[in-house]
Amino acid sequence: MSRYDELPWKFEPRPSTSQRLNIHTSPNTNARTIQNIKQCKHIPEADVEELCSKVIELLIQEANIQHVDTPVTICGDIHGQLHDLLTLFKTGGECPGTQYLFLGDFVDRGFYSLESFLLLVALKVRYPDRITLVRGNHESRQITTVYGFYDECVRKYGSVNVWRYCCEVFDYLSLGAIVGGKGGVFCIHGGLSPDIETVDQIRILDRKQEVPHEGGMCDLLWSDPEDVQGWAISPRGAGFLFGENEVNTFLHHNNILLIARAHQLVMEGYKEMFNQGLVTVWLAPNYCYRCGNIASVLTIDDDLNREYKVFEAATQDVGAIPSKKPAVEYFI
Amino acid sequence: MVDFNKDRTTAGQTPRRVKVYLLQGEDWLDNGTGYCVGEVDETSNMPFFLVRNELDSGDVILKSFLEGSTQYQRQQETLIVWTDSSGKDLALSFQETEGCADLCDFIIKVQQDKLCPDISLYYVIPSMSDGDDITELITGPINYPEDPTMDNLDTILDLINQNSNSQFSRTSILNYIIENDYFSKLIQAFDEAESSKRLPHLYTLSEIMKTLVLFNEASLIEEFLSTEEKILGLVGILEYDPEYPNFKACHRDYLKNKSFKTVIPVDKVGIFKKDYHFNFLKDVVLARFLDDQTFNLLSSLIYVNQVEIINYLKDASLLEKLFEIYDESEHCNEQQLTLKRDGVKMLHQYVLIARSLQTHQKSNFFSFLVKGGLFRMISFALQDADSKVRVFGTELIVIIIEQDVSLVSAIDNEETIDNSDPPLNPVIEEDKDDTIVEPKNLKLKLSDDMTLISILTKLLVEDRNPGLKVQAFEALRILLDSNIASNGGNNSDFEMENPRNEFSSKDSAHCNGSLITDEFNDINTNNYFKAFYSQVAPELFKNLIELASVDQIANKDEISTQIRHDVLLYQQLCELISFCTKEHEVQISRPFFIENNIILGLGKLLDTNCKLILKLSIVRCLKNLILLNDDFYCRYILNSDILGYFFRFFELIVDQNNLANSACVDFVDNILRNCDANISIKRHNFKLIANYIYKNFRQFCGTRLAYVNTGRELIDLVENGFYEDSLQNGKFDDGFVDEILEEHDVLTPINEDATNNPTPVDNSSDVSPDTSPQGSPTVFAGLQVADLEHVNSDLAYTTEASGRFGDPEASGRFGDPDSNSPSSSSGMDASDAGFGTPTDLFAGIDSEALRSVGLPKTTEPMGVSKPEPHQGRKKKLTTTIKNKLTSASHKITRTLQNGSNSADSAVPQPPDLTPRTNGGPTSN
Repeated sequence: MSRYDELPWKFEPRPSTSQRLNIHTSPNTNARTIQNIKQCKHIPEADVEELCSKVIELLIQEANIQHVDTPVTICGDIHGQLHDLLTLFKTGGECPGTQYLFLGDFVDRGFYSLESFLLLVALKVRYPDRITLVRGNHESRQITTVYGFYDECVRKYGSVNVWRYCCEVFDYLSLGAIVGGKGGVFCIHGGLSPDIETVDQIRILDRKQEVPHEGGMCDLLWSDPEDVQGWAISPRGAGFLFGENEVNTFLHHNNILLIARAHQLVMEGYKEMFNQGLVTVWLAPNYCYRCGNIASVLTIDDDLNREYKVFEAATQDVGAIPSKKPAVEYFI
Repeated sequence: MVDFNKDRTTAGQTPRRVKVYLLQGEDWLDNGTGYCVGEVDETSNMPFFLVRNELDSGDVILKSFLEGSTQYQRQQETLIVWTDSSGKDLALSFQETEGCADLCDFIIKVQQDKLCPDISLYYVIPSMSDGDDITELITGPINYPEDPTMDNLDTILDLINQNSNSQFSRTSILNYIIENDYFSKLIQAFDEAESSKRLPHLYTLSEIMKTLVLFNEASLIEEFLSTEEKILGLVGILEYDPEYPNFKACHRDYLKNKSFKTVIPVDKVGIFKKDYHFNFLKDVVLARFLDDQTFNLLSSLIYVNQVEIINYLKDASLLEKLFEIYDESEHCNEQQLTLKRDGVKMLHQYVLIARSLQTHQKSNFFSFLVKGGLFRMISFALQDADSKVRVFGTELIVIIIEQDVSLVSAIDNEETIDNSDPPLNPVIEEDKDDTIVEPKNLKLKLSDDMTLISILTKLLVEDRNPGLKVQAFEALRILLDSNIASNGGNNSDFEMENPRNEFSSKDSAHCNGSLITDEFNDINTNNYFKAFYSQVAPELFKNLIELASVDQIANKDEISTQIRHDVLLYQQLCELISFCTKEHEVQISRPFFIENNIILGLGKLLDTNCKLILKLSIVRCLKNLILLNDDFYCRYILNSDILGYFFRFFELIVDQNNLANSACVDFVDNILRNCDANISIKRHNFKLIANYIYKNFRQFCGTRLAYVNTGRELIDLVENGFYEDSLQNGKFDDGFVDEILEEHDVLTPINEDATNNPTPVDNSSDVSPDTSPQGSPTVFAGLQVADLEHVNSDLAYTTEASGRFGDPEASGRFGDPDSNSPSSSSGMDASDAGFGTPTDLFAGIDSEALRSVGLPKTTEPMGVSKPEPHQGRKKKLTTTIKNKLTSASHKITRTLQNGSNSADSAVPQPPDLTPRTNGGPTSN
């Protein structure tokens, strides 16, 4: 065993204010930024702003239900567990090589919401066609002020602007995706809505808004499948519970093979329901650093075959000890 | 569950009705019913239960001594069960829970009074699911840990773990630790283990500390943080984590190197450091180990301490000293400048803290800040060269006014008292090199002082820092909230403690005039918003106003270049337009937006090559304007052919499937939905628009928009006369439209082609080419509106409507001497004006479609309408859901039960994962 006092790993010290204020931009900013994010380094506020406005320009060009080609790896909730996200890229393939589709809930709960979200955004800016980001119910101003992302931004930057920039991006995220075109996989964060019978109907929504408390857009991000007849009130207070019938109708009506969604913790990483018509995938292993669950991603190949990859929480890696960073400066 | 501080002196004295059972074989045999008491034998000092037969008090059913190491169990609330020293299994079944509790108290008392120190009482809680029952020690002998050495750490850890699952044992252990300064002993052991590099010992110590932290006891955590040595000891021990055997954190290095920045010397440093340490513990050291209970405990410890900090800041006159730094505004050296900047950051830090306090506490603190001279600091901050400091300055404003806009009127009152200040100069400094304003002007008077709003506007328009723009925008939106005055008056919470009341009593002569009444508020608010629209808004929307007035081709490039450089600003302006037109008194806001052709400016902006993100903001802004369902805006939009700009943009992206396309479809869809009588009560504006679209863009809707139903539905709707036949007579309000169309044969389309048929605005410019570009359209547009107003008056049948137009406020505005003067109206022919006559009002509408409907006439006037919230679509969707729900209603109860058991369901409070409560939807 190595001697503890010779070990290389240390908590990243905070950069000084002058370092932080030193705004630098260069052509390689993006590549460097991705590296810095992966190492949990402080990303200057101006860089965050720049990344956010760049990604917004890309997101505008995407449909409410974005079409994604196969093969693609579909990933569920991340919830700020940056190190597990990095493990995913290591085991499932780095981003430009493997195409990814993330089903939302990038932020809240974990200690690295900002870094997780920024990494995805930076990858999106760098490889727009190789990564698709879908909005989850946590990509919302109201929810992030309660479940951690807001506090994390204020702690890391001392002001709320970074949170504001990110929330602006949230508003532009697609609401879902179709993998493999007709007869393919419909991907959303939550589930179905009684207001939405066809995928085309979703096209009419102007999605650039805070997630509403009711209506189609809300349901897509909040609903859950459940063993019920028809539609039932959701105990979450938003969205609905929908049963097998609703799933079958929707699949048939829209010529869809499978609904892939996230939004619910699955101890086994993934769970198929309703005669394999719907699957829940969950990305954050050992959710909240103590749920003890395993994680999984779903890869859809060119013939629309499904392959589930299961993996466990990242450990034993330098810098992989999850921790929050202390406040920037403290005045007395 | 068990109150350890309860007075138990009388426990066991009241006879309690009970059945006595004895176990024989497998069966509990009833040994009789009687009254049970707990007594202590006077000679031997031995406690015992005594049960006397209820029918014959001389008959003792049971006398059982509490002795040895007997374990008593309380089960099912009314049972006490034990095996006595002779091996008999006994049970007392009480008639009432209270009786059982009383005799349990007796057991606790005699055990803790050391009469029989080795007995114990356990509470058996039946498990909810199929698992084992949970037993909790209520009282009994406790094994206390030995003083730590290098040989007994594992034993200590085991012992502490054993004692962690009952409140009684936790309390016993924590008292032991505090009374014996046991933590210091652990730190000594840690130092020894670390200096001799014994890793396993270090990990065991770390586990011991984690277990103790998770005892979730405030007094224990306070103990751990009570001195610097202990803090370093705690974080030092927790640097080692057996889960990560190859690593160690460096909390101690971090804390030792942590230098706190000081702006004003304070004597009570402890509470500030405590705040930092608590947060460091919560966010860094313990972040991964905390369960929800301990997290909440730490949060509440932090909260209590922060309240103390805020009160200290207030009471120790520190803030006065802080604000004094900003007094000498002239030339300060580098050191002073740094101090000033740090002061801003410092206050920002504490304002963020105060923000999380309760309403009255933060209100109190903020008003204290304002009174103490906060605006001197803000004045410095907003002018500082460091944009970070400017951001902090604006954020301070935002946080404070977000909390309590009445602070604005608090300044107002102070202003009333302080007559030494020269009259305020509302004019915005044009010279960009100049500092923004003099500090003394940084006081906002609700009545008509636009100083703060002007500064923020200037920041929004001119500053390049996007963060600052966002802040300024937020601040402006709060300051432009139409409830600003009433908020100030109604906040009774604040009123009670408001220092300005002290002023009132001291100097009533000055304050009589500023007593806040509703009436006063109304006038005040009107002046306030009038001032905004006359002084600030023209600056704020300057480029849009210019864009509207310039020739289509010339200058366009120049302006669009400007706009390209500041896309964010124009997006924010779009939001402000939506906000102002919706929230502000329409009589005050509408003339500004219409007379300055700001909406036309937006339309023209759509024609430039500005960024898509901005174009979408414009589309949304136009949609919001239409959804106001305001007759004037509606006609303005039709007459200025704003929809032409929209559809030209739509055509460019109609073949794409992206957000831009969806936003445009949504725009048309909203108009379509609002033509539905089931959704919209007042539909005539939407019908006018639908007709206009049909007339001008039928081809587009029919062919290019075929990928959604919206285009087809709109065409069908218009061609079928809005399906009026299927509606009952008299249900709607469109009679007026019909009437107009019958009286005036209106078939003239407007602006099929904007270049061939100039818009009314361009027309008016043509009429008076000599007037300045900015001036003339305004004057004429004003006149047009005034004319339109007269038209409406003529047509207004009800007294209510005439009264409205006769309103002094309104006529004062429309009777503006300038716009009524003959010279400016000369050459203005009604038919040229576009707005001038009813005929022109409906120019461009295919009257055939409307006429064929055969609407009944109603007497309802087309008076000035207040914007109505757009509820139509929502209503319908809710109905749909309800219908679907009703059909499944019998399932719902079952579902809810199922749902609450699902793995990640978020039933109101997910018990183990949610740090704080939330009013909104719960989340996973």
